[in-house]
Amino acid sequence: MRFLERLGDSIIDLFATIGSFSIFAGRTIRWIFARPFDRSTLLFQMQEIGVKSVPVGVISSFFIGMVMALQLGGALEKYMQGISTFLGGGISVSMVRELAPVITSILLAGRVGSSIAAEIGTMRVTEQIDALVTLATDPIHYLSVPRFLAAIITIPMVSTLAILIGSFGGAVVSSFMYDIPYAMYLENARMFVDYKDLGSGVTKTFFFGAEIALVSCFTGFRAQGGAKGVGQATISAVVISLMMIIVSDYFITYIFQLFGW
Amino acid sequence: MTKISIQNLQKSFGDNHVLKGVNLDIKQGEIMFVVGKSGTGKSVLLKNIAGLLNPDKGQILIDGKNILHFDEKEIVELRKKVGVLFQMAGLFDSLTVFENVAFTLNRFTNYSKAEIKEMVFEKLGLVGMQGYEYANPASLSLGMQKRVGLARAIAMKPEIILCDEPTTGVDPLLGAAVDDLISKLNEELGVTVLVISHDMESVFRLATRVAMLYQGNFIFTGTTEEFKSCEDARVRQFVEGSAHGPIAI
Repeated sequence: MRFLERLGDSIIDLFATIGSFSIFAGRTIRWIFARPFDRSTLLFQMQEIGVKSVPVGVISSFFIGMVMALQLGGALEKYMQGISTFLGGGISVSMVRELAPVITSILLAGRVGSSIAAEIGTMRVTEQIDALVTLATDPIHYLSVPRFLAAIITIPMVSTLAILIGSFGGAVVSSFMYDIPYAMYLENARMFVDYKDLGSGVTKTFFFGAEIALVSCFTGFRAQGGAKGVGQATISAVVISLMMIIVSDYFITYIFQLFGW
Repeated sequence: MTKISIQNLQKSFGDNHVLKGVNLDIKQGEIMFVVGKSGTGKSVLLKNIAGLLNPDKGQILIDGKNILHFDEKEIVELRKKVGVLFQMAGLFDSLTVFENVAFTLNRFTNYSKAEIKEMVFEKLGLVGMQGYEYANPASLSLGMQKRVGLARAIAMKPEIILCDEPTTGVDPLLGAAVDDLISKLNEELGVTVLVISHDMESVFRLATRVAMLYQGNFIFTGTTEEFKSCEDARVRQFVEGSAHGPIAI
């Protein structure tokens, strides 16, 4: 009986949290159009979320591209000599459609999500958010909107860069390990990758960026009880963002396929 | 004239009934102290007046209007008239001292940058914080942070200032300086001040009237002289700061 009670409470809590999150997301989107619009905070957040994430995105995708070339090239050569000339196409399609967008977003969920949740959580437990309210400023407008906009603008940009660098990483290994000239790799990539692939990959990161920003701001706003609460909010932000990216990736891909993307 | 009127205010957190229907009138231009043991709901009362918490029942009237019925626009306008000094100052640590004080001036007024600079420097001068304009709040002591918090609270020339334990965590000299400052603001700007405190020295130095909160109700409301001579054993214990008496520690 007690187990059923606890299960019931957990389910009610889960639905209450989903409801609160939906209201929070709706309010964030509604506040985008409200005045005053703080352009300098937006630019600052774009630098924090986007520009400072470039090294993480670029270095990771370069090595992922190289690993892809090693693994795929080795497997192809094992079954048919010379077929590794198709490496350019294989690596680029994987990087464009799935690997670069998803892995970059996962990395940024860690870097950006933890930073947003810790910052807002600290503001919550040190009365800074209460102070915002008393200064006639809606905390969602002031804190959540610039981070949300910065994330949906810059995360697709970082992912596009990651796609290019990841494909280049694949080209470097293909050239050194399998003697595939850069021109052939590029020609092969252009043969297999079209604008729909690029559209599909980059559009996904727009949604992933929104998920990271909203989840991290939401968990930060709900932080309670000092340093421990801030730590808990940070963990929740990263874990929930990661899960949402992976789960939503499947559904977004499925919907895109319905539309022939 | 009554500036703030609290009528039958009730607030609970689960089974914990913090405010059990409190009533309090604060007159225009007076310094009202709300005192009481820690955990009696003083800060909860302040947060209800500041709009940070919603009461379960009751009314909060400011200038005769029930603020609980205000729409979003009216609330924003009201907040521009009410300055709040938080217990831990609540300064934005991503902004400098100057930016903290200029926060509402930048967002809600059409003053030029030069005018805002002049106003911020004036407010910081008033609280004795000139020379710290471009410091990061985190690098200041709590007492200094509280003074900057006060400068920020008065930046928009509010009609009401709410102070949550302004002298807690600061040395006695600085505590006296903060009290002088509140008194000066009250005299020069004519603002109505509500102070939440358990610092008895501050109460006798500054208060026009005192109200004592105990177990969710006010058990005393009156002048400092009446407070000093009150015969209620609970009030006596609090005034004398005794560990023994009807108020359990």
